[in-house]
Amino acid sequence: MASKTTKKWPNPGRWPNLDKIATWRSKGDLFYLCMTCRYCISETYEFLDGERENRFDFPAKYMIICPPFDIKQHEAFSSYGKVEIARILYEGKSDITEEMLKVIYSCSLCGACDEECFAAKRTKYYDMHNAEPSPYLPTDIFHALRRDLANLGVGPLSRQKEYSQWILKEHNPYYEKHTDRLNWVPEDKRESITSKSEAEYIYFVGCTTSYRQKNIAEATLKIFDAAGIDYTIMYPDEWCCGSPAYMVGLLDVADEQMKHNIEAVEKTGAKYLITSCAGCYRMWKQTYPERSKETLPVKVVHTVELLPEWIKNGRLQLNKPINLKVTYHDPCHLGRHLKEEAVYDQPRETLKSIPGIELIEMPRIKKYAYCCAHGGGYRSVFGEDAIEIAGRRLDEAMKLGVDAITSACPFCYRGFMDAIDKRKYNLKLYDVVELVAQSL
Amino acid sequence: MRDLETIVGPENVLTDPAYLATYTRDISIVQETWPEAVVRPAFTVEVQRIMRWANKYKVPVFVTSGSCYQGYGGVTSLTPGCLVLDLGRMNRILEINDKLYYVVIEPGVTYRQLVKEFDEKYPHLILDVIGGSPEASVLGNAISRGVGHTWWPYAEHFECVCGMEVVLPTGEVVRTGSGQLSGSKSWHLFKWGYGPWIDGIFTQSNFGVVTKIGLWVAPRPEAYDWFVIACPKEEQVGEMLEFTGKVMIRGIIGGGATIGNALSSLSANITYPWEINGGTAPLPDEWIQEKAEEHGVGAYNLFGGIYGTEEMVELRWKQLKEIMRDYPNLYIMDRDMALRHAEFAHRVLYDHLGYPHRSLFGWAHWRGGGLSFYSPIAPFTREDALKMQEIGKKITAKWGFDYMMKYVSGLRAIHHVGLLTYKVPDEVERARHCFLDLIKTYMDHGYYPYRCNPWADDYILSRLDAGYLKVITKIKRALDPNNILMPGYYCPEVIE
Repeated sequence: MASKTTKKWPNPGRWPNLDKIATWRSKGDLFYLCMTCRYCISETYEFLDGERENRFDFPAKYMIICPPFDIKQHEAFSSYGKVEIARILYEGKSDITEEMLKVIYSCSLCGACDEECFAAKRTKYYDMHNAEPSPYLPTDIFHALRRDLANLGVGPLSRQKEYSQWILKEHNPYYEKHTDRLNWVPEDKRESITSKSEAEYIYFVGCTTSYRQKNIAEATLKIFDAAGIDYTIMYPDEWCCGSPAYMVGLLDVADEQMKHNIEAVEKTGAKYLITSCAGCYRMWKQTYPERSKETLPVKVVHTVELLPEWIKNGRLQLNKPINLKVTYHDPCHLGRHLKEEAVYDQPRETLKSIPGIELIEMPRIKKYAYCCAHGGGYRSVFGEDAIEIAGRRLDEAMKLGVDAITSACPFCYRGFMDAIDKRKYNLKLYDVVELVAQSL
Repeated sequence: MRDLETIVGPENVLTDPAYLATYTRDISIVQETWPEAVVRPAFTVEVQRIMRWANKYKVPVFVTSGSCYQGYGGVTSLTPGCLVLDLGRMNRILEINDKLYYVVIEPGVTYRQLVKEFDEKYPHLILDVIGGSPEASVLGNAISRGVGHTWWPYAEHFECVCGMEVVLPTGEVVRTGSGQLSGSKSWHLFKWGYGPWIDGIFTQSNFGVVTKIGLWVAPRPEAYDWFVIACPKEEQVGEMLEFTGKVMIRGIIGGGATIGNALSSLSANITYPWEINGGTAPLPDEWIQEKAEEHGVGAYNLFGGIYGTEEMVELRWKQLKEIMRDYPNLYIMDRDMALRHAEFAHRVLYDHLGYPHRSLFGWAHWRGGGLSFYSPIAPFTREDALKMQEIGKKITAKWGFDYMMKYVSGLRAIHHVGLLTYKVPDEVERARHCFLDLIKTYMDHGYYPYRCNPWADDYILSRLDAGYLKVITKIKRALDPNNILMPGYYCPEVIE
């Protein structure tokens, strides 16, 4: 935390995106739903939620759920603190400060607070004729604030602006050339993979998988080949899904990528779009239909959704045993963000199908999973903190005595990779598809 | 500010509105006060230096133990532009003695933190917990004379404080009780020390900054059982309170038991029925009764715990039932039915066993985002229970609010914790008037609030005995000649 206010921007007095939320029923009230109970900070015993009903021994009790609060240990970094910042800005009680921006963007928008917020879930709003709970959760407020700041030209933080510009220019946030996007594919396969005009499946590889975690892409292709599916990769038409820009409030950047990607998919005539990245999946599954207001021309699936069926119907023969005790980390974008469409069971089912694998669960799983802090634009600016947070997730895994941690997202993978390195843990790391590919 | 940065490090002097925002309002939302800065010391010696600095520049200081309070204010200072002394970083559990059953803790230690520690390493210890947020300060609640939910004396938290370390407004440190003697082996074992006992003056006061306490905790009992006893009609509240007093005073049930009226219990199961009564409060008695029957809730409901060995629990059940014979209108609720009710289940399975939880915010959210507790003390008598109910219902109805309340914890008298909830911002002003009217009327009838949000301090102090006020203002002048520590907090302003 920095003590002094440095750069300032005047409060514009207009916050159109916040206003849309705040005036859902009557002006400004939404900010006062927060009762400062701090349930957005830590786990306690829970009775109201069926999943934990009567679970006296809920193992995650009293753990901190908010990653930035966990690191900074000041309430400003919690969901409660950020609601307060949104309120004082909305009410015109403060200018925008540089330090404030750092606090606002110190959040991976993981949504753990949304799951715990008592006010959001339990309060009927103040409309006597049509009482119903607010449709807005804490992270809706934070994202609206980010959108307003972006529209003002004040947000996001400079690094996030930079990578978003790179997304416009080269369609990835990693300062790589678009022409290098397919470098991970062996040269002799490139032509055949990208030239199919009527393939049933599109593999939407994603930027992180294309440029950084190529191991995930390679394993995915191995699985596709073994399953014998008819697939193609949209090169050069695959652009960034836009998630890194969308999460920090730069919707124009995200929209441009989205429009291009949807048009490109339409041209192929494919029935399915497969992604191995939780971030891409969330964008395609949730944000694209919302933003484009269109029904997508393809059914969007994550690789881990296909695997159980392919294993069950014999399309994939998992013969080689892999003798490992593993745990599985739920990516936020494959879980909480998708609410009732969350993908929780399929990766677990897949892991259990691999001979030799023993799946041991961490205390916090599914919608209660502790975020690795590598989404929402957080890692790009707060790298050290993000790695420390990922390390704290690993601490939970280490307590189980497992050999490996697995996930289904290249962002989580990167975080864990760096954290394992930093903590010098003797812990293996796999994406679920890697273990499946190894077992073929 | 540079001096403060030298004391605690630049990262622990906060002036940016991003940080100050979390210190501007509390759950009552009756006022919003912006501090000039927040300073976050980690050690007692830093607190001493800050207080000396504040004296030098005559800067008012407001103290908070990590800023999580509900119902009684706390994080919001009375003085705009003051320096907030946030003790949240002083969060060390300095000692857990599981032979003599006490802990030594700093102000930033939360219920969550201490219970987690017990849960993992000392399962044979039990901490009495509050019904509020697990993120609240254990020390803060004890020196605010807050109460909990197990048994006597542990449910009365200050009763279990043994030995304090206090930084005086002028920066000196005083160790109370047996801590008077350097190297004392009984600082946290024997409260009284030698000579005048001064611990009490540092509770609900602005005489010093408490930086450490010893707190007695209990051995986890061998056996525990619970019950919910209800009465069907609200006019039977007198019988309920008298009965509760009898079984508490005799030690048959834990002194941290709670009685809730129907509406307060219903609020854990259902949300506000805006469609009833045109959205206006109070809700009709008929509706409350109908819903109470539908949810199997009595007009008043006592959630009690019985502790001891198996034999003791069995014996106490017998004693309880024996005494109940004199109260034919009271009945023991079917256990399965009780456990289906969110609040009852939380009370008897969690509160009573020292596990903080989250069921109780149903009432905090009953009518809206604002909450203030009005908490006069009720003697365990029929007449007083009826009178307090009469006042509560009358005044809340007069201002257009519901009468929701809990009786919480006591030995000769019990805290009548009234839960005033209101829409924000529409009803804040009306709620403020209602709150003061409640306090005034209860005081007119001899029922003093045991604790209050600081914004109502002036009114309460204006009613107190002149002799008492003379003593506390003399103490204040002596200890805080520049009146810099929380001016006006539980003590009249001493600088004219």
